[in-house]
Amino acid sequence: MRILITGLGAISGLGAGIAAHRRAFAAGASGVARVGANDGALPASALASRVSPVPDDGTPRVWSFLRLALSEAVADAGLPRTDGIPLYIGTVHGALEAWLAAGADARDGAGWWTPAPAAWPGMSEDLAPKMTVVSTACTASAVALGLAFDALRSGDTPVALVAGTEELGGFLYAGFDSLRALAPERCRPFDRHRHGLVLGEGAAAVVLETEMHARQRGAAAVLEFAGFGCAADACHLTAPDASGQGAAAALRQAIAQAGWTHVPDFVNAHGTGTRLNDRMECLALQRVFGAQAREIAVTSTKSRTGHMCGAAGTMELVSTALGLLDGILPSIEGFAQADPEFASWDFVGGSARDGRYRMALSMNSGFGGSNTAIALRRLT
Amino acid sequence: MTMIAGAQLALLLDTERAAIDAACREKVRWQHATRVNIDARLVLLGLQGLISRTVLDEAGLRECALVFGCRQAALDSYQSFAHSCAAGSPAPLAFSHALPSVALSCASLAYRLRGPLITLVGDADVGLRALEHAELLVRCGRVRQAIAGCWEWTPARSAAQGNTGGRPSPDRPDSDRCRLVLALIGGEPTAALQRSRVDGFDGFDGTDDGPVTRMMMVLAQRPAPGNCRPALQLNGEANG
Repeated sequence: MRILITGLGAISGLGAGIAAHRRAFAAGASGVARVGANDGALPASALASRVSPVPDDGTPRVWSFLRLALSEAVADAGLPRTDGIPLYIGTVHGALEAWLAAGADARDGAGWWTPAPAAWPGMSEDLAPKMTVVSTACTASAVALGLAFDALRSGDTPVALVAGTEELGGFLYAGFDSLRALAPERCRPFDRHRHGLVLGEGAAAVVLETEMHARQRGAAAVLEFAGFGCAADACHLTAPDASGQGAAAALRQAIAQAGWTHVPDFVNAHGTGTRLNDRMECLALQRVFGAQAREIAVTSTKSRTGHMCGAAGTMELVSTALGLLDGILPSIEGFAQADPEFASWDFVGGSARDGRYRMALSMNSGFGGSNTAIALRRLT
Repeated sequence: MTMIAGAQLALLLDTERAAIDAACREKVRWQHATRVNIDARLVLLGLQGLISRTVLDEAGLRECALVFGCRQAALDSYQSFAHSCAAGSPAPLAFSHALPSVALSCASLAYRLRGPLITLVGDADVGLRALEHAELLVRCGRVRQAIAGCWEWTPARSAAQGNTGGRPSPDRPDSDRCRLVLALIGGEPTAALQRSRVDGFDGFDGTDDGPVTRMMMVLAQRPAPGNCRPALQLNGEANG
């Protein structure tokens, strides 16, 4: 049974809506900038990708992002109704900023990860009873995608909504800053001079359907969610397993499930721009593909959208999907020269790359050694 | 309704928060066990309990999927990091613990777990969601065996009866009680698992309507309290 991607939605520092993201990827735009003195939440000198203008609907921003992305994905899919459709959400910290702003009272701690129906006017309140909220660090929305995928292919449901959302506030920024993980000047994934990540915020949403359900209602979808893998490093609370074996295990699971016998056309890597992560991913790809790893185009969109933490999985599924749909592979913002250890690899630098792409992988990793891989295929 | 085939109660922990540290020092053979946050210590105790009671051995645990749900996770770490920021000295260790998945991450390090480790957050049904998804991972063939879990913090009965309105007194944080329930899905039923089932249901106080109670009621195939109607059937028998 094929599982198809029938709807996409996104909001990030690149703009609101899939069209804005398409334009940004094609033009090589970036949402990253110094936030300035008016930001209010982050230091003025902070380098980050902020959603602007800020949605002002009286709900925590993290749920505003979610509502906007979900609304777009549902409309894009042409779903006539959403009642009864299971909803999977990935987020690391949910509405943490709202809880902190309200005084961080322990007695009110419960529920700050769960969006209440009132938090999203205009969406069907019927979504609430069938909601699963995943919080597995920066693989949260990728894991949410995996759970939805398994539910669909097991026949539990013919359609599912999946979204990731994250708000960038002072807590998150201070946290990564305290870990010395932030890029001082520019985020440079896979570059020999990379020195850290840049944070972002926003949401991305996807509609997944069984092929039968999609065809029966006349949905014209050409992208298949072909495989998913999930594996743990069992190594460190914040650093990845340098050997890449956890990420490699996730890749193998996804590829095996997709039934692929050829290398993919490109990989949308987790690509945070930290010294450890980027090297780990290359080693993981090498473990799986051997010498052929050098032939695969590798890109990362985190230096354009910022690292969206819980939303990274769905955001990067969206960017991978757009690459397959539009035949335009976004280049790695900040990349100039590869790490000498991987000098002969095909990192997508410079401008966006045109091509006819049919198979792609999206990789994500997170604190605690969580690793995921998603295999996507264009059917036509 | 979702069918849950073969889900069996494996362990129920119901203890005072203050007892967790001593239990960790005595029972969990991981050098960092007492340095991680309280949620992680509780989960480590639970998993060690499975091993001690021969419900599962370490090799079996390593390949399992773990799907755990909670309503309020890593609260101490969130508050600790927030306070450290307010004091002008952000504490990176507190930040690295300030996320719901840290409990399973610590379990992964302690027991070398490499399977899918999934933390869910939510309301009173979060344990049921964990059961559903753990069962799904086995049923769809992603793993051979899965552990579904759920934990919660509740005010101690003495605090609840006092004038604190049933909420934990900020002056007596150690008066909190905690409960953790673990269920095993997939694999072969064992005598140890049967004993866990019997021990777990004896004396279980299911009068509240929290995530652990809802999960226990489904595992026991009993009607849930109040007007809660869990969206699960267990082995074909309707609940409530």
